[in-house]
Amino acid sequence: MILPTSQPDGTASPDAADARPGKGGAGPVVSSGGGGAPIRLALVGNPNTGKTSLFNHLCGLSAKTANFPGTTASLRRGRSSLLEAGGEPAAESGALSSVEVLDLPGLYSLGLDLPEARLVRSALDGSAVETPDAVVVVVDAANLPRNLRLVAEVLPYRLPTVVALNMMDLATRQGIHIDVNLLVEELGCPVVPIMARRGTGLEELRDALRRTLTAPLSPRPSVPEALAGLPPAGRGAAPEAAMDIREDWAEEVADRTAVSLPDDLDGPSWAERLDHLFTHPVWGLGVFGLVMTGLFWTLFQFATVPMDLIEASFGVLGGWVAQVVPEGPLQDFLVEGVVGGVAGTVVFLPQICLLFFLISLLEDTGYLARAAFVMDRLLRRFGLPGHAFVPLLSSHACALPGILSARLIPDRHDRLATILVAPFMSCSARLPVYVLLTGLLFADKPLWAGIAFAGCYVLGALVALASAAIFRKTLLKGPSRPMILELPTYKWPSLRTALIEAKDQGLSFLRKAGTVILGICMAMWWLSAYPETPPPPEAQTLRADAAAVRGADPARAEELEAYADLLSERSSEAGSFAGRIGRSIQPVFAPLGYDWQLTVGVLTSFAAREVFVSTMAVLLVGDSEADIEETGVLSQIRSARRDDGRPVFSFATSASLLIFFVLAMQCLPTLALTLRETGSWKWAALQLGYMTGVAYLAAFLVYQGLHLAGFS
Amino acid sequence: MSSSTLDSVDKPSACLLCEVPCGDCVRIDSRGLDPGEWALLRALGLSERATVRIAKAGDPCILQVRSTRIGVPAALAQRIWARQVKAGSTPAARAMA
Repeated sequence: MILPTSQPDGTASPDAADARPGKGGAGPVVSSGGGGAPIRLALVGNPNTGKTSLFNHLCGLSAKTANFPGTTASLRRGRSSLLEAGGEPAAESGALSSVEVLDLPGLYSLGLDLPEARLVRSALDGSAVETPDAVVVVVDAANLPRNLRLVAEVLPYRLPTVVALNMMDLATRQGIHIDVNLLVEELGCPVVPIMARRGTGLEELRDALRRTLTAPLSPRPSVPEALAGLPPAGRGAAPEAAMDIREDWAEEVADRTAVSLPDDLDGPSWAERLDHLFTHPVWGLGVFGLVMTGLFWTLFQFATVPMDLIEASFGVLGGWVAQVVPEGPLQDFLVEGVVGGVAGTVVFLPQICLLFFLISLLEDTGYLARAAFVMDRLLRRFGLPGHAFVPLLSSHACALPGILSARLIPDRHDRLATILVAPFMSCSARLPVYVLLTGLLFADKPLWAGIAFAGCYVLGALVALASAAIFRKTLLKGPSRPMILELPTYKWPSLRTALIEAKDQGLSFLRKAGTVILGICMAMWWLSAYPETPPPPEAQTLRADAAAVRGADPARAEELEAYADLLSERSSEAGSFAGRIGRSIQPVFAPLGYDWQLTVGVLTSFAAREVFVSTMAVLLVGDSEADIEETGVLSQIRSARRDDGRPVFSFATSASLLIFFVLAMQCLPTLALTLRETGSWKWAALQLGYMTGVAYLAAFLVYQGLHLAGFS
Repeated sequence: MSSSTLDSVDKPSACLLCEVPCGDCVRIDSRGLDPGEWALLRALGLSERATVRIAKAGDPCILQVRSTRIGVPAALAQRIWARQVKAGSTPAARAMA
């Protein structure tokens, strides 16, 4: 056996001194006493082999998503126990009770020049994260030759390796019988048949890992003779020749160890008929439209109740804080800054979690891969790849996870174009604004309001596509890489996987957006509350009048108090830092039909668009908690007047505002993420400037056009 | 569309993948593909020695090799050269027939 003289990246030989047990010494990975750094286990495998299912079964809810050090790629880490179920813990089992499991990105070959391949190589050779103590290669039993090629690339890393032979049920249904004992001899490492979706075989897998981690490592794990001496995947003078050798080896091992019935080789014909339907240029688009309609209908139907519950709960919490904390700046800060800020973030959780739950279900069925080809035909016309479909779809919940999922797009220019246009997709934060403005535009015409509402989504998507086409022809010129995609087997989706994905995305949103939005809301509260302005004389007079009539006419007294509150709030807002800034900048927005109050609303929403509604409620109703969907509140806002007596929300102004909010970049967390994902201020600045410019121009044209047509 | 047979090819059955009808079996090669595209196709199992069945022609073109189904857009299928495998000439082709 020829031992490699260097690590795959050319650093020192694995036999060089390394203090950690098992890394280069003769001892087992797990030393007696169990002390020291945690055991690390890496999961590697082709996409669609059930790696995520296995990871979820091993780690359950303990998984967290973090970044690969020094990169923007995400890595899931979790904790699992490898202790024997019900057995006495052995002396060296301390470390086995909590093993760190790394779910590495799925990949077809370590030799590809793609982000996921680079990441997995850096994980296995220890250049990005600490080298794992053992590797589990998850192999699709129904597709042995292709999966064994990846095993052939992993074995030369000489790490303790266990092969998890997954999807045994699928292989059996296809008439494939695998001689596992012979496969063990051929690979020189343990092979464990499992069915990850059902959790079958996991005890045997843990047992194999326990034995592997506690076995002495001298000599180091063997490499099959045919593969010994090959350069690492993707490197060396003749990578094609090395690929041929690995391919031949994989085919031979598969031929020797797996027997399959000829009639099942081409798969069930029903799958082919479904493929024809789902990728048909006409029927495929029809099916896609139906699926998306169903998805969004489900989203809006089922997310509303928890969103309302969250709003109500935070309302109760704010009320309780107001009772417990004495009136004053601290109470205002806690109620409006902190509670209001947290509520403003958490209220979007149901939509985000539910959308990702549904996307995960669709993906698990195998349909999304087919839909990606349907969308590829459409998106290619605008310079975007079919891969951009899921990021753009996700952006309808929130642009943050949408931009994050753009990491999977292989071509850099395609990825940048997707990131730049993703915020055009109408996200959850825009919904309250759409509800307010369409309600103002079409007061007693719910059908027209609904059409306008849907039109906002369509407009955002069309502008996104047009913008992508412009970017790909100018700043991001160059050919796009054609989309080559494996079409996974159709199967019933896993609820468990979908729930865990929804949980992960929800927590990620809270961490990334929550902290920023909370900070913004607190800053906005401060800008809107200070400097303190005494109530105007008119409000004082109204309060005196209310006191005078309280005994005789309590209802009238309440009306007078409410109007006095409104005048006080407006005066306070106008005199605040936010109000002063709004008045000074108002001339810029005058051509769009906005007065100083709307300008304040637009400015405050530049950091987070969802604060527009509460700003309007404060300015025009005098209560930041006012429910804009209540008829009474809506008519108060509709009847609000500018300083010159004209209505604040004329038809033309409302339409202009609506268009502005559809197209403007009003989300600081998204800008921050764009900066991080693109690695350059240039792209974040372009995104802000371009979207603001497009929104301003479109709103200007709409307002001036309607104004000239007499719709003021 | 370019002519379906290269003058320099001495294998008269060579044609573009987009011209192969649904259900036929072919072997593909790397001519007309850039190294990155060919590397990905090979990693997916589409090597020059693999027998590939056209499960669906058109856009996308769906290829089947063993139990793997791979979708490629028509624009790519117009650049992939293939040699048709006679029905029954290989065990895989016989199995897929």
